[in-house]
Amino acid sequence: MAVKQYFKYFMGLFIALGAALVIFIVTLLGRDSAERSNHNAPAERVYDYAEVLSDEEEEKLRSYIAECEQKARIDIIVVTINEDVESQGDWESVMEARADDFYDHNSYGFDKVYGDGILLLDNYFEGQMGTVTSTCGRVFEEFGYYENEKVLDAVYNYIETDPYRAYRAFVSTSTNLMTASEMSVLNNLAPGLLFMALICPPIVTLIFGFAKVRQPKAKKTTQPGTYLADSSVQMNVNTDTFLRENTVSRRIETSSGSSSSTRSRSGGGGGARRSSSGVRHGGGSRRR
Amino acid sequence: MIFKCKNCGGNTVYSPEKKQMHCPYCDGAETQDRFDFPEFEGNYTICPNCRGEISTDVHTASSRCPYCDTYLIFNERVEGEYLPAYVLPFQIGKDKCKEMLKEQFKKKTFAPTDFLSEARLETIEGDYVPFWLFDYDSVTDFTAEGRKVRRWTSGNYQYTETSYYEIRRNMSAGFRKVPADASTPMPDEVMDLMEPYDYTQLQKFEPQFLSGFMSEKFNLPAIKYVDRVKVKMQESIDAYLKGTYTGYSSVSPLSKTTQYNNEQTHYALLPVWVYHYEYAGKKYPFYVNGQTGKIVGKVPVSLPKVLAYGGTLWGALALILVLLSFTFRFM
Repeated sequence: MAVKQYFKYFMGLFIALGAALVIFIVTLLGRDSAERSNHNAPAERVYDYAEVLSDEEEEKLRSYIAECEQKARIDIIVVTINEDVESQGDWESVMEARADDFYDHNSYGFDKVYGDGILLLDNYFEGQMGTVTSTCGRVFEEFGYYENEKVLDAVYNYIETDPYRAYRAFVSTSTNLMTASEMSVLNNLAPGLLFMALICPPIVTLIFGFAKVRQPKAKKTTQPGTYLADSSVQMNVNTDTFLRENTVSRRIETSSGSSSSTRSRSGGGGGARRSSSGVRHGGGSRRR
Repeated sequence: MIFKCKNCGGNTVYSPEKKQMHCPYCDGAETQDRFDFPEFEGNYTICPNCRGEISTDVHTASSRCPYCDTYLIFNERVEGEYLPAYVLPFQIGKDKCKEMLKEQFKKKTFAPTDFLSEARLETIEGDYVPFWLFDYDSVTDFTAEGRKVRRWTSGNYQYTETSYYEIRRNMSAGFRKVPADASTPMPDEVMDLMEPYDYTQLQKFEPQFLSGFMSEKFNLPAIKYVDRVKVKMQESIDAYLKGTYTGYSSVSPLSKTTQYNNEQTHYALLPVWVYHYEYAGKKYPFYVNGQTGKIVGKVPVSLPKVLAYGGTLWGALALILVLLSFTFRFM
């Protein structure tokens, strides 16, 4: 009887516990099997239109990108060109538009079309050399000014001497930044939950115990008129006589010179823009 | 006296559900015959049905034979000076009382497991408690000083104006059937909480109403309860008076005197179901108004249950949060 009552009482809690256990096991089993869900994008990741990489370097870069994409769960694309872009307008605007459009027209994105990914566009045209990046989806959310600069720094350390090494550095830096940001969220979240696991249960248990043990006292249910005979109450005298009055005054102390200030936060950062297909992109640029 | 069924000879009892005498053995209605028997031999009496020895208290007016369950009513404690003017017959039967207790306490998770068990609840006894009912006419003289405070601001000054008034009241009020239980074993504060009873169901006393229930005669004469009743009446008067001087910021009573006249007392038996529950060597009595169903009593707490339920909640919550934290880490 008591055991049956106990299980009936905690049925909901035990179901929640079972569900948490199942979720944990499923997560544990599926932790390394994160597959890309966008199958519309081409498999190609390296477009060396400027012919700065050897065939072997291209192949090595492709396999390195494939490895890093799986780790960071983002698309990583490298495009080199040798074009006069300034004839079409401002260098930075045209390069950014070209990068964004290349990403969108090829339907890149790890999770979906126009999803998570980063594209590097490098121009080798004489007098218009420089690099821009186009970020999208989760990369756009995670990469601010600092991350974009870090990616461009990695490229610029080697671009003059060894383009392959520069692009490899782009791939590794992008991957590291993404996995680091992901891990920092999870690492912050997990200790928080562990802390809650220590603090919350005793508090909930104490509240539960108190609520269950507490018993409100029985209240009186008689009214003032419960035992009065009908119409027996008579007010023989009912007078309120004014006696006197007095008035006191007090000076109100005032304080002056108070001021308030508001501080507005100025935001910079991101450099968010929209591509011609209306997709939100970010990223940075640097001209050589 | 005992009431026996004309048809089967079983002990007939008053049924609150049927509102008549009933034989639980042959289901006969109003088939009772009264049998008198020699009642007391010192502190005990002999059951006329089974010859079992029944110990009684000096105030016991009716009791149940523990051997054959026959209800005995002791003539000399319900007649003469102990004849009640009124009785309020039980309106709630034993089965309904048990259901009400179950309903009221079903959410008391930490109550001992057998607290609401059928076997325990079967021990509930119906008890007619002796009450003195008092009638009084009262006249109260009341004077007080009332203050009305008004505040306003003008320029750099805040002004406070206090007006003083003399409040005078003279109020007559007639009280009818103010109850005070005349049973020493029954706790006064619990019996006060049992109130109010609906007196429109009071009936002229007939001993057959006691068949099926325990009862006592009054333990002390009415005069011993006058002060207790006057306190109740004064509370009622004070509440009425307070309603006549509203609008004051504060009131300080200066004098208050109440005269009580035309006292009349009535002796009545009022119905209470009593559930005596004992847990860990301590008694936990529960009282149920036999007319309105109002319940008074404190549920015992089972320490093993507190530890088991608290421990389970604590452990399960901690485990869920730990599992979630590891799930997030592995995502």
